[in-house]
Amino acid sequence: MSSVQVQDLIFHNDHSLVSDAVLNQDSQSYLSIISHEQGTSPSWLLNSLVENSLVGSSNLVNSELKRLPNGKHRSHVYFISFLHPLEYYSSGCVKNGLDITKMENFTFVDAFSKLFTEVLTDDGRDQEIQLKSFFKEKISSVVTDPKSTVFVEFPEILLTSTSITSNVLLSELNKINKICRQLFIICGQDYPQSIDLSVTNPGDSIFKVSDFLAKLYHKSQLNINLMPLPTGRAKDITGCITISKGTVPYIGTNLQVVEREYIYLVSKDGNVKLFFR
Amino acid sequence: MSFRKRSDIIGAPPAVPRNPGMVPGRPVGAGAVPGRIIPSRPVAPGTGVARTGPVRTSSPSQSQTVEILQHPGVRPSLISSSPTISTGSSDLDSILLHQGLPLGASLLVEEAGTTDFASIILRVFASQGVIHNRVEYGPQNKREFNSHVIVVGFQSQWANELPGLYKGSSRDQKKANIAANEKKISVSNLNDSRSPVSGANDKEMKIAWRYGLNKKANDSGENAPSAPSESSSAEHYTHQFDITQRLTPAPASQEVSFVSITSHQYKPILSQIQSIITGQLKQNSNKVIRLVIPNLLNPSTYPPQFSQSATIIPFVHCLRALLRKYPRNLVLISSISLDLFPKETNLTYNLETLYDAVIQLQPFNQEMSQLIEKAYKNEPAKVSHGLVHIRKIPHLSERGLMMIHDGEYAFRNGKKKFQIEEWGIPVEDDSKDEAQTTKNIEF
Repeated sequence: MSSVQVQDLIFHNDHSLVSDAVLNQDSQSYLSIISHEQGTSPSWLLNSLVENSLVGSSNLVNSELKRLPNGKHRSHVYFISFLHPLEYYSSGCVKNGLDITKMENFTFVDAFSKLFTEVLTDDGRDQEIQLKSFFKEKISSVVTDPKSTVFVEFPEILLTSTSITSNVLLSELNKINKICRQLFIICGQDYPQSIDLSVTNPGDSIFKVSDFLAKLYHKSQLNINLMPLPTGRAKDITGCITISKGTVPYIGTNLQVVEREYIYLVSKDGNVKLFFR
Repeated sequence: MSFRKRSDIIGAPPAVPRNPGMVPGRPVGAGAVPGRIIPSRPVAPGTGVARTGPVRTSSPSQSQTVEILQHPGVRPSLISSSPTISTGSSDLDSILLHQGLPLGASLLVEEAGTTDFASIILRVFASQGVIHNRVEYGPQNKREFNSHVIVVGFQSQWANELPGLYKGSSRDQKKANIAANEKKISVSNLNDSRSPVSGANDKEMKIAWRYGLNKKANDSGENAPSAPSESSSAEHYTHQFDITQRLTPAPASQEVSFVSITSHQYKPILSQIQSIITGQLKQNSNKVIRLVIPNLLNPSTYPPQFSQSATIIPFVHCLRALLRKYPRNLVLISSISLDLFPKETNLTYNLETLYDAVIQLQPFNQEMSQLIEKAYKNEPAKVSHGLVHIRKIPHLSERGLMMIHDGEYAFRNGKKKFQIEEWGIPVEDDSKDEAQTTKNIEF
């Protein structure tokens, strides 16, 4: 592996991760899906994308991207997590040279700590009303900066643990997408535990998640998938990251997704190395 | 001319004469009988001894971390330096890579088949917490209620079956019993001690080669069992447990709390757990609380409604939130049967997502067991009982490292310990069969 050249991660033909062409749009908004499997958590990628959206650089995965001078910011980042508290992301971003707890253009929406104790307190159909209220009050009203990037992590827990349908969740995420420039949705995608398109029972959690993801893929511009090697565990390879076009093009720009496949290695000290596959 | 120690205050009243055999600060009677450990009385809130130490100007979380590291059962992780506790099994601590389970993290033990090896791990985990209450540590040999165990879904009977400390092999125990009997005041012992022929010192002189052995035994006897690690700061970090023994004295109510499953809703259980945690931390803010949930979703304990995703996932999600709320005090361990909830189901998948560490025990089937027993018929101590698959490791899996190890480790449940070691396929030795061939070989 030492003889193979380390590559920079890029998503678009302008050698960017989160492109200026996306952030500087006036009317369009775009959707990207980051899917992963058990064993290939995208934590390092999220931290890099947050860094890139905030300050322009992406130290761990792309050395060509440079930080904006004079402390300028590229966009406002809103991070909505159903899986982790703020401390998890703030400690992770330290490696990227960011203290997100002190950054004005970073807003964390905690959908984790009190999700089932204060947000979704009722059972049954009222949960849909509560969820809509939560998205409206805690998220849509918070995302005020039009030039913004929004991350939503682990939204599928709403499908597996409540009576909320995939269409309701898609509708709420769609509303968020419209008020920001770039929306990243981070989902687990393990077959057959999480998605299985052969399941037809509408009440089944797997059906709901499969339906949610399938519909989401029909709306996205960019899909990023992280998965372990199909041959099993290797000491010098963590997994494989696949960049592919979504079904919808980047309307209003000349931006193209550079479809590539990398193998990557995450070391215990948090460094990431990418190689072409 | 009289001499005073430097630390004595001139003009102060004379110090109370020391009582021979008593250790200052130690309650009367404690330690009078070797090996007996009497837990100290619970300290009322606000009346406890104030912690001494340098004035800290660091952030509250940093100072909390420093304080919790003074706990005898806590030490920094080898990977992340975060405070970590022992699971009670040193081998399990090793495969978790942190040398234990980091505080604020959770461990799910999955088990396939009809065996119940997972309960051994959970009981040892609970025992380790109870034992930490009973150790003397620090320069003043203080003993306090520094740990608490919360058991969900079981009654006090569960705690009565916790394994006791491993006291050595049967030979060692016999020696210890003989030594203890010799120390007792009895007519025969007094006669023995007066008799010049059968005195203890004379016994040692019977055979010359025993001198060396006795010397070694004396050396180890004086210092054992804690001497080898006395100097280390983590001497009480982990203990060895004997599953054939019971923890004595049985855990008291200050050491273990029980939360029963009384309804099909998770919120009452959660509020009970929350109130116990709050109460325990009021007594001692540096207390380590071990939350134990054996046989999660087992139909004998949990109502059927609990197995629905709409109940169990919010429950575990709330527990995860509790762990993040008390990152310096709370740890969680659970076990679940994969026969009831197979790995392919969405429920188990979501549980694995919500737990920080996941291991799977896969006992060998009968054919494999017979093969291994045959291969190791001369070394029964090497016979493994099943495989250990690692799914998630705290902190590392979340940070994106691929930590799935399938079939790389095997476990063996013995009297001494729950042993986990690297798995290698045993080679069957057929050389004898070949040697005993009865065919006539013509050249």
